[in-house]
Amino acid sequence: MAFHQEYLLLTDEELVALFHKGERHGSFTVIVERYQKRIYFAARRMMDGDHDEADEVAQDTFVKAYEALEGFRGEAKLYTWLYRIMMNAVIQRSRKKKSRRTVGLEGVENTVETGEISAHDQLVQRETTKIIEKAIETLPPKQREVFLMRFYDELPYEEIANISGTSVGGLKANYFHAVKKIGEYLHQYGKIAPEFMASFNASV
Amino acid sequence: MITQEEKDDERLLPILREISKAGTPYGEEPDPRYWSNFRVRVMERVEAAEIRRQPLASRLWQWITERPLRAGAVGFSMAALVLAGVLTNPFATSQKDVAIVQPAPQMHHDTVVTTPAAKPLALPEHVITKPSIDVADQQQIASTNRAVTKMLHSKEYAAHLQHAADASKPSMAEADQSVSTVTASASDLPVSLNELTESQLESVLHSLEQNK
Repeated sequence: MAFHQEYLLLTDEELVALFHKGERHGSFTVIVERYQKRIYFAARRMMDGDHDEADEVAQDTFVKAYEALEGFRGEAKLYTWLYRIMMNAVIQRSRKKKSRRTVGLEGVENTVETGEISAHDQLVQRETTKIIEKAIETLPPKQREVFLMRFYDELPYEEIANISGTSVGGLKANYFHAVKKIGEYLHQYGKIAPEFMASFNASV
Repeated sequence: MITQEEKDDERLLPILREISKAGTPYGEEPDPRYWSNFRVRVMERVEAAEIRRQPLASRLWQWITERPLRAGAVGFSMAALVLAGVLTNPFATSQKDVAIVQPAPQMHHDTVVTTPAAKPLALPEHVITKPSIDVADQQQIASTNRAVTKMLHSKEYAAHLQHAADASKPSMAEADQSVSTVTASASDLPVSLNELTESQLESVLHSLEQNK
């Protein structure tokens, strides 16, 4: 399977045009190379950090994208289009899986107890990350999707609306409530000052 | 003028800052080899899906062109199998050895089979059957046949026939109507016992007794 180094310099639009002209494998290989990490990690966040599930979702995404790229006319950005395919793959897989994996906080507490002093800062950060992961898992699906797309994948509201089929106003409301719930979760574990959360709640 | 949206963003900012400090959740990098293999695995799946969508003949041709040695070996093996099957087939025998036997419907018959051994592509085999009869009976039938033939060609029998015809001659009107029948009878002189009338048979037997 040939990998064309010179294609790495091409833009997404040029790669898609190349694909439409018949250079399908060469151009698509570069598209995979360019977006594999972003799609994989987005899938992994959606799948609660499960590597195997994320790997399957990411591969499914690119295989489906290859089959559908012939009909892609550039109405959306290529990454947004890939992201939408990835979200559909996540939804399909979640339906199959039925019950989502739940992670207890025992792991978080154990990490803190067994941490070494020399790596204190790293451990604190790791602890906060675990709490945030848990907080994200407790969010309702819609809020969770919007938060992940907006905060970690840095998609603009318009593109999220395009992917999820929700209005921009509804997305902003979902995002606000998602961040507030994560803040409350962090507050429970002492990661955010009590006076800040009190003032936050008073102002809402 | 600050909008409600901007106010919300300001209120969320400390939380978002704290979330950012914590790093990306589920951000552990997989094994380094994972990324080098990922693209290859995706393209393998893509190619497999493309092959599945192709028609069978196209797939077969692609397999043959991609693996000519293996395809040749498979083709040779199949040809050898077919040849071995033909050579060892118990039903496949040569044409000249074929003997078709038709069983008699009611009684046992001796079967005489003639085969065109020298001409394998000649007409199909003919099967001739005759009833099983004792040798003594056969001799008696043969002698009877000879005697009957001799008698039928004798002058006495011809005179007897003439006499019988005169005795049963119809009137002129009846004769006119049956001209064709009489003419036909005259052309078909009796050659076997089956064709004789009862009166003719009686006269034949009478002649035989006299000959004895």
